[in-house]
Order: sequence, then structure tokens, then C-alpha cells
Amino acid sequence: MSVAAANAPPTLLFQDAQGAPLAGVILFQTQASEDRHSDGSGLTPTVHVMDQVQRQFVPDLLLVAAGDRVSFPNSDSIRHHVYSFSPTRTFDFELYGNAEAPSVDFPQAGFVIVGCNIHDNMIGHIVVSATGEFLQSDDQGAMDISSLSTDDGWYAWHPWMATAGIQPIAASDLTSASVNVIAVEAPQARPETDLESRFRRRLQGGR
Amino acid sequence: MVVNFRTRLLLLIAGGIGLALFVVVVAIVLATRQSVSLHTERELEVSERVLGQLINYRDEQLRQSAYVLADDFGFRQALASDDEETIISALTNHAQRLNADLVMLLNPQKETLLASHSLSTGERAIFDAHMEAEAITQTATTAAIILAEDDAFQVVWVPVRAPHLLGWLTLGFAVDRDLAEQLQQLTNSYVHFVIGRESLQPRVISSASERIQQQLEQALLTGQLDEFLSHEEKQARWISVIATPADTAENSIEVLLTASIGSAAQPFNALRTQLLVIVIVTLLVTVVVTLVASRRFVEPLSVLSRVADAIARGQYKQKIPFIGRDEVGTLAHALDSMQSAIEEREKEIWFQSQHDVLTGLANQRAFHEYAYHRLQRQEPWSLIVVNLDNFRRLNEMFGRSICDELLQQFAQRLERLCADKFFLARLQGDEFVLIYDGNLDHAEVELKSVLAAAQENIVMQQVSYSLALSAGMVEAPRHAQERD
Repeated sequence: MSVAAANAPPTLLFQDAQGAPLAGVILFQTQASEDRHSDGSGLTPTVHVMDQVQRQFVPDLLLVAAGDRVSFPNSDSIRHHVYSFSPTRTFDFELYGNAEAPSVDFPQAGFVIVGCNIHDNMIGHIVVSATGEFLQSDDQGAMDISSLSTDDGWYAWHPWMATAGIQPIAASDLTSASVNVIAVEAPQARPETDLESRFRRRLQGGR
Repeated sequence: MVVNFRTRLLLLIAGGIGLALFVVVVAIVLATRQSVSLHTERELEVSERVLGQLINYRDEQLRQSAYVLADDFGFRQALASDDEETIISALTNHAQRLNADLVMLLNPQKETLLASHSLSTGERAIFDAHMEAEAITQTATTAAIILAEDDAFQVVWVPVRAPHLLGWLTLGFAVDRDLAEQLQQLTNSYVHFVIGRESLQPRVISSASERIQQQLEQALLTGQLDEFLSHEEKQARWISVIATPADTAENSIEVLLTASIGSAAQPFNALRTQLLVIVIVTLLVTVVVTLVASRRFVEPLSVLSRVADAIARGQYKQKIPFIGRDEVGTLAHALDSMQSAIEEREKEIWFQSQHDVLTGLANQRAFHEYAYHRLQRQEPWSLIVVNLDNFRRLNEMFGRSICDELLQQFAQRLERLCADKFFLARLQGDEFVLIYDGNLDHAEVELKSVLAAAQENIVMQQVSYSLALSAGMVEAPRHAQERD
């Protein structure tokens, strides 16, 4: 990242494939200068919650610090099978109902995509930053990076990049001189299918 | 109507060739029509085989996919959870992976546990029949198409084992316009799925246009399928590739394949056009050739017929072109000699009609004509009748042959005397008539000299015969206007 104008507050601008401002770009840190948990400084890990409501993860994006835990309670009457194959953290909680709330720790920085084995449309994202520090672009696609002292170890990521198969972008590859275009598109809103509505009517009608 | 020779020739030849061409064209048209029909029929046969294979292949593919799906660990885990909502959501989720339009979960006894569609009794009977048939044969080679909530689905069912038999997963795929269109592209014929063909409300899922689909439904309803097909220029074939063991009128599903006759006839249409052009050209050439040839044949004949016509009108000096040595030439020669012969004969006849046989003088008829014409002119002329008064006596004395000779001699004398002055004719027996072109006074003067010379004795074979003449005169138009 080359900071062009010294006097103006350094800002990164993001756009998607359509040229629209891209909100929600996350800048996270993969390595901390010092590990704040393993040095035994006594910081207790935070427990975040990614709930499951009406066959969706709520929230569908969690930003956590390395070493934090995430709990996956089930608020649906349907059972879910939550899993992740992401290298940052793999886990597998086979079908469980709302009586259980399994949790898992995230010792390593990176991004994790969470799914449900029997609900292909349930997708959650967890971004783990080494220090727990994050920067996010606003609705105008602008990200204030004045608090950033160095590019090293910082990466930009957006949930839509997972669908497009794009890896996180190193901060040094971004520029504040012009707009950073990330070739992603907003996912299509998925209408309820015929089968779903049939069974929904059946379930509602039956109960 | 009089048709001349040339037109008759033209009609005969052109008609003959036209008839031959017509027969050929009709034969060809009939043959091509039959060939087109045969071709279309064969195309439909091929389409039927292809369609059968496609549907069975699709069945096989769907079954394979269903097996893979039913083998999914998470899916089986969900089905085994005994929690209805979880099972439903897993069923829905996984069925959607295969784009299934219908999903049913049956228990091991094949009773419905969960279903996206509720089947009526009749619909269920068809489904059961399919499953029973498959259970008996232990093979899954026949595709099953069932009705569910009045829509048609191709269905497959596979066991779900965990590892004991959990139940049967049934997946259905809509038999809709999209499928029909796909099949049409592959079979090259229009594909119509007909539901309840014999029922009161037949329904058609067609790869053809909506209009055709509606018309076909209407035709099936009113039982006028044949009329519809012939109107659309299509040939059709019913096929029962899908086994429907529990068919009822309302729930029967059949496939109607139709192929356009027009497309099969296309190559023949060009041929037909060429044929038409050939026919027209041939006829034109025939007409032209016939006209030219008939001109050559007929022209001499019409010349000769004009000549004959002229001869009939009494013109005997026709120039007859002698053409060739054929029959026409002979005819021309004959005509030529005929006209001179007729001329000669006619002259003779005319002469005889105008002259006295004995004396060679103009006869009574000639005199009458002359007098008639003379009267028309309204100019004065004189008529003198001369009688040989003693002729009867001479006749009695010397006999008829002598007297005839006497008459001849006398006539010659009169003729000689009258030349240039009088028109001379013998009326009858001893009566002669002289006509003078002028009034009586002049006539009298001339007559005196004539009579003087005329009444001299005639000497024949040393015998002198005396003649006694008497004459009477009238002047016309002074004395008479009429000939008599």
C-alpha cells in the first residue's frame, strides 16, 4: 500500500465487478507482533455466538480475535449439522437440536466458512484477526486506514470473495491512489422453491 | 363449328403429348406422395425408438443420481433422526440438489411418510403398480411416469439404508414443455404427452406451439385427431413407451409423435417445380413444332383448295404451283388438267346452248338474250324477221336431208351478208331473225341489199334451188318495250 497524499487522511476505496461501492470489505491481521494469549498474559478468550434461526446463521458474519471461541446454538426446530472445511479451523458438529450449543476455538488467524450439511443455503463467515483488530469499508466502499501503521500481515477479504473463489488480498497490493476493484458480485436473492413452499404449507398446515 | 385441318392437327398432337405428360406427372406426384408418407413414417419409427431410449436413459440417470443422494451420510443421518421437520428440510434440500420437482419418502412397506405432492387414489394406484411391476421383475429398465396433483412426473425410487432399510426415497421430475422440447430436438419429431386421451378432459404437454397444443387438446376432446393431423399436414404415431399398468381413462399417459409431412416433402417440391417447367416447355415446343410442321403440310393443300374453289367459280386460268412429287403434287397436277378439261367442256356446252345445231347460227335462246340486253339499253334498234316462204314446199319436194343442206347454205350466205351489219339468229325451221343497230329507215336500206343477195338461187350438185323470202320489220323501243 502506497500512501500517496500525506496530509489527506489515507482512505481505500473498493468497488465490486459492477463498479458499485463495495461495503463490508474487512481488513484483518494474520500475524501479531506478539501472541497475546500464548504469552500467558491472562487475557480470557471471548465467546462469540453464531445462532441458527430459520435455516440461516445469525449473524452470518463474525469478526473474532485469534484464540476466541464461537458457540453455535440452534434456535430452529430443525436439526442442523454445522461444519467447516476451512484450513483456518475445521470442525464438524453432527445433527443436533436446540438443546445443544457446541462451541469451538479459533487459535489461528484467517477466514472460516461455516455450512450446514443438510441445508446447502446456510452459509456463515467467521474472520479471525490475530490481534482482534479489524477495519471495514462503509456503504460508500471507503475504508479509513489512518490508524494503520504497517501493511505487513494485513489482508483484505469480503464474504462474496468466497463464492467467487478469490483469496484474501494482501494490503500491500491495495492502493489509495485509485479505486480497488474486487471482481465479486452480490449473490442472487434466492426465491423459495416449489418444494420448499409445498413442505412449508404442509408443516404450517399440519401444526 | 368448322375446325380447319391445321387446328385439328394441333389439337391432336398437343392433346396427345399433353395427355402423356399429364399421366407421367400424376404418376410422379402419386409416387412422391407415397414416398413422402413412407419417409415420414420411417422418421416416426426412428423417433419412437430414440424417444424410448431417451426416456429410459433419463430414468437410468435419475436413478443413479438418486442412489448417490440416498447414500449421502448427512442425508441418511437426517432421515434417521426421526424428527419430521429435520427430515423434511433434508429431503427438500437434497431433492433440490437434483432439481427434483417431486419428492416422497416411503417407509419400508412403501407407505407414504412424507410427500411434496398428495396423490389421489387413482394416481397412487398407478404409482403402486409401477413399484410392484419393478419389484416383481427386479429390474429397473422401464421408466415410470405418474400423475401427481394432475401433473405428470417421471419418477424413480431408491432404497435408503442405514444400513438397514430406512425407507424409499422417491424423486419425481416434471414432464413438462421443457422436457418435450428437449425430446423434440433429439428425436426430430414433435413430442406430445397426452394425459387421459380417452377421458372427458384430455390434456397435452407438447413441444409444439401453445396454439398447436390447444388445438390438439380440442381435437382429442372432439375425437377429430385425424382431421387435425391432415389439416396440419402431419403424420402421427401413438407410442406406449411408458408402461402404465394401472391405466384408467383419466390417468392414462401416452406419447404422440408427429412429424411434418411438409419437411419430408421439401426436396420433392423442387422436383415438382422442375417437372412443371419441363411440362410447360414441352407443351410449348410441341405447339410451335406442330404449327411450323402443319404450315408446311397444310400450305400447299390450302393453295390447292383455293384453286379448286376458284375453279368451282368458273375461273379456269389458275396458276397451280407444282409442289413436290408426293400426293399433294399429284393432286396439283390433277387439278391443273381438270381445270383445262372443264374449261374446254364448258366452252363447248356454252357454244351449243347459244347456237343452232344445224346451221351454226345463234339460236333462239341466243336471240332472246341478245334482244333482252338490247332492250335494256333504251336505244333504237330494228328487228327483222325473214322467212323462207317456200321452205315447206322444198322440204316436201326434195326431202329432209337436201333441205337441211339448203338451210345450211342459206345460213352461211346470210351470215356472210349480215356480217358487221346485222346480228343473225335462226329462230326455228325456216324463220331467221336479223337485228339492226339503228332505226328502221337505216335498217331498210341495209336490208334491201342483204335480201337481194340472199334470195339468189342456191346451186347444190348441179341443181339450182330458188328461194322465196319474206321479211317483216319492227323498231324497238318505238314498237315494243318487251322482248316478246
